[in-house]
Amino acid sequence: MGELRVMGAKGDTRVIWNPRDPDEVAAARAQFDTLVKEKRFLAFRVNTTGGKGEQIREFDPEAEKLIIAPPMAGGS
Amino acid sequence: MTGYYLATGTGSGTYYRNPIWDAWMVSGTTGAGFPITTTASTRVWDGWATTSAYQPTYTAPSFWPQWTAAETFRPQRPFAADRRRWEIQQRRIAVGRLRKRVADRQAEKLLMEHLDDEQRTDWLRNEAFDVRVPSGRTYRIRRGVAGNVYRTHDSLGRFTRRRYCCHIDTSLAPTCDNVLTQKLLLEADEDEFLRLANPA
Repeated sequence: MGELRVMGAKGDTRVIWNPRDPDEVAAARAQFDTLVKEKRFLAFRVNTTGGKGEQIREFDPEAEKLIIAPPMAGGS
Repeated sequence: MTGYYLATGTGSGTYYRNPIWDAWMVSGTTGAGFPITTTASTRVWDGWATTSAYQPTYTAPSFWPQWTAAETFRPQRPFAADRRRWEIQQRRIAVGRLRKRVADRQAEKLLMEHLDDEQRTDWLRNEAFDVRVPSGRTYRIRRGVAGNVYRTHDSLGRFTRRRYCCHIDTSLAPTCDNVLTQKLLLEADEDEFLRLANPA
C-alpha cells in the first residue's frame, strides 16, 4: 500500500492507494499532479520508518510513502 | 471647587454661593417672621414633578420620556442578536484554536516519525536537532518558521555558523510541518535549499 501525506493548515491528510488497483493509483496520481505540478508543492519519497527523503517530481505508484509539502521560499 | 461652591463672607463664615445652590435652595421667612432656607425651590421642583387632578404628583412629562425613551424604544431583538453573534464569534475562535492545536500535534507526530532516535531526543529536549547532509555539512534546525536553520559545521567538520531563512507559508501548514520540510529539502537537495534561502 502506498501512502500520501499532504501537509495542510488543519494537519496533514492521508491518501492511501493499492499499487495493483489502477483506479486508486489514478486518483492518487491526480492529486499528486495537482499539488506538485500545478501548485508547486514539494514531494518527498520517504520510507515508512522515516529517515532521509528523496525529492521527486513524478508520482511513483510503488513508493511506500510520499510527503507533500507547501512550496518553500526565502524569507527576509 | 471651593471658589465655586463655597465662599467666605464677613460675619457669616463660609457659605454656599453658586448657581446650583441658588437653584436648589430658597430663602424666605417663616410665618413667625424667622428667616429660613429650604429646598422647596419651585424652580427645581416644578421641573421634576407636577400635579394634576388625577395624579396628585407625578414626574413632569418633560423628564419622563428622556429617562425612559432609551429603554422603552430600544429594540430588544438586535441586542439579543448582538449577544448571540458575539457568542458565536467566541465559539468560532475557540474552535479555531482547538483545531490549530490538533493540527500542531499532528504535525509534530509526523515530524517525529521522520527523525532518528538522536534527533528525536534532541527535539524533545531542546526543540532543535542536527541534520547531516550528503555534502558533509551539518545544519541545526530549531522550532520556528523564519531564520530557524543554522549551518553549524562545514564539510570538513569545522565549526561554522550561518543562519538561513527558507520556509513554507505557515498559513498553509503548522510550524512542525515547516521544520520537517526544511529537513527533507536539506537532505534531498541542499543546493536547492541554499538557492531559495536568504542568509541572515
